[in-house]
Amino acid sequence: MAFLEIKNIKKSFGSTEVLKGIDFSVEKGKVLVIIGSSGSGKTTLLRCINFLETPDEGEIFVGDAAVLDAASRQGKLSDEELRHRRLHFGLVFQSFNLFPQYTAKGNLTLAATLQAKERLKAEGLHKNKEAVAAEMKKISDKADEVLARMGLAEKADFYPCQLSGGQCQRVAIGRALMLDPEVLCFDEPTSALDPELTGEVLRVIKSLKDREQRTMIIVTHEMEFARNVADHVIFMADGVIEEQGTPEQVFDHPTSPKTVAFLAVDKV
Amino acid sequence: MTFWQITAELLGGFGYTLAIFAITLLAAIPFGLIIAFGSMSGFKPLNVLCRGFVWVIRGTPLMLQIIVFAYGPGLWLGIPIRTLAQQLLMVCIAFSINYACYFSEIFRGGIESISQGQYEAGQVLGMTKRQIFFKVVLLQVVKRIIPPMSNEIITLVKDTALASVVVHVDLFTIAKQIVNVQVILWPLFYAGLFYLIFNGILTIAFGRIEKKLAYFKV
Repeated sequence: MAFLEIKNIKKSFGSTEVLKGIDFSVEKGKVLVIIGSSGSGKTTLLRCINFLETPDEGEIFVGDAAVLDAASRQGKLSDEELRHRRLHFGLVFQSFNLFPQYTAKGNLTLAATLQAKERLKAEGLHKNKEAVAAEMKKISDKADEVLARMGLAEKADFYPCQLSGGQCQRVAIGRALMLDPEVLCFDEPTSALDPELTGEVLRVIKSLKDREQRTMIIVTHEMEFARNVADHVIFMADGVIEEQGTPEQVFDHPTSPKTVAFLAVDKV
Repeated sequence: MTFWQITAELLGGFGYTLAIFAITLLAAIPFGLIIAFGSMSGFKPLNVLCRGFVWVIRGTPLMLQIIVFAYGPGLWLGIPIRTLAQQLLMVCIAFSINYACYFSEIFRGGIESISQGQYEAGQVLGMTKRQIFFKVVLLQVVKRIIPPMSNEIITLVKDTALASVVVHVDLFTIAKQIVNVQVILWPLFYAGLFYLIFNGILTIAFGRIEKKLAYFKV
């Protein structure tokens, strides 16, 4: 079985069927790129995988664990269990969604700090000053290290409003990496950026593949980047996977007329 | 009466004005938060109840509400409000409920103005709803609501004069009494100066808070 298995995901909003049964799988360390015109369901799919929407049907497996099984009703899961399960995934948003009142580093450490405190409390160590300090030091060091990898070592103490869009998005990627998600998802990570800033973000994402062999799902409109970074490409149209294959297959030898039309528009 | 005697009298009244102001503020903020959450609740009866309550309180004169609270218990419940302390308490309750309703709408607007993306970012990072509210949303809401809140709070300072329908101890009422007895007009303007200076201090304080929160943008 593949590392990530998505089976028959269906989702409707009212009477509009946005996802009509999506199946795919991703091997560990591979990059899946999802392309398609707006309204094709790409973002909804990514939101379902990240538990921001609850699919009406379908299952998600990571490794051997069933992370989501719509048939058995997610509603029955405790908040605790749900929170635990969603940490298999990380998500980088189109509009960054950084926390404005925290510095770049504060954005990275916030969730990790809260989780460390909960863990310490569960172990009865939350009043042990040394244990707490050691844990906080570990998180701080890790944040410094992640920021350096994002090329933001000098920006650690800057607030989001003092950073460019590209820098903000790199902080957001760092924030997602802090929790070591098994699958990192990107929802059009460069769509909100000025053209001259997309390069720095795309380079960082590429480096996650080349240097760390991260398992990633990337929804993007940057076709050159998609071809460059993808191990596997999915073209979505009207809530179904219209075509999939290696970048060469999908970009150079598309078989579906819809894919051909979509790629042709992009070339103009 | 000499200038100093009048000053002393007015200061005494100002003490009561300050007390009504402070008690109202301290009570109305938490109560307003509760009403705000009630009016945002998905539980329909609670939602309707809170919005209806806000409608009634905002839709009727504060002076009428003070009268209801001060004389209602004696008229309808057989619990007459007699002592000054009791009267002041009822006045403060009326003020608190009235201002809580105005505050609740400011709070609701502030909370609803925070983008869904902030909640979602917290969720995908595995934060609890509580953590998202207190660690992410709250400070952004505070920053957003400081200007409208300072407006309401300055209005409250002056509205305390409405307490005079029940008790005759607040700054403005004392000034009026002096004017009536001494047949001089200036103590009224003198009292106005007290309000003006106090509101000046509040304005500076709010300006400081705004400046303190200027390091980030919402």
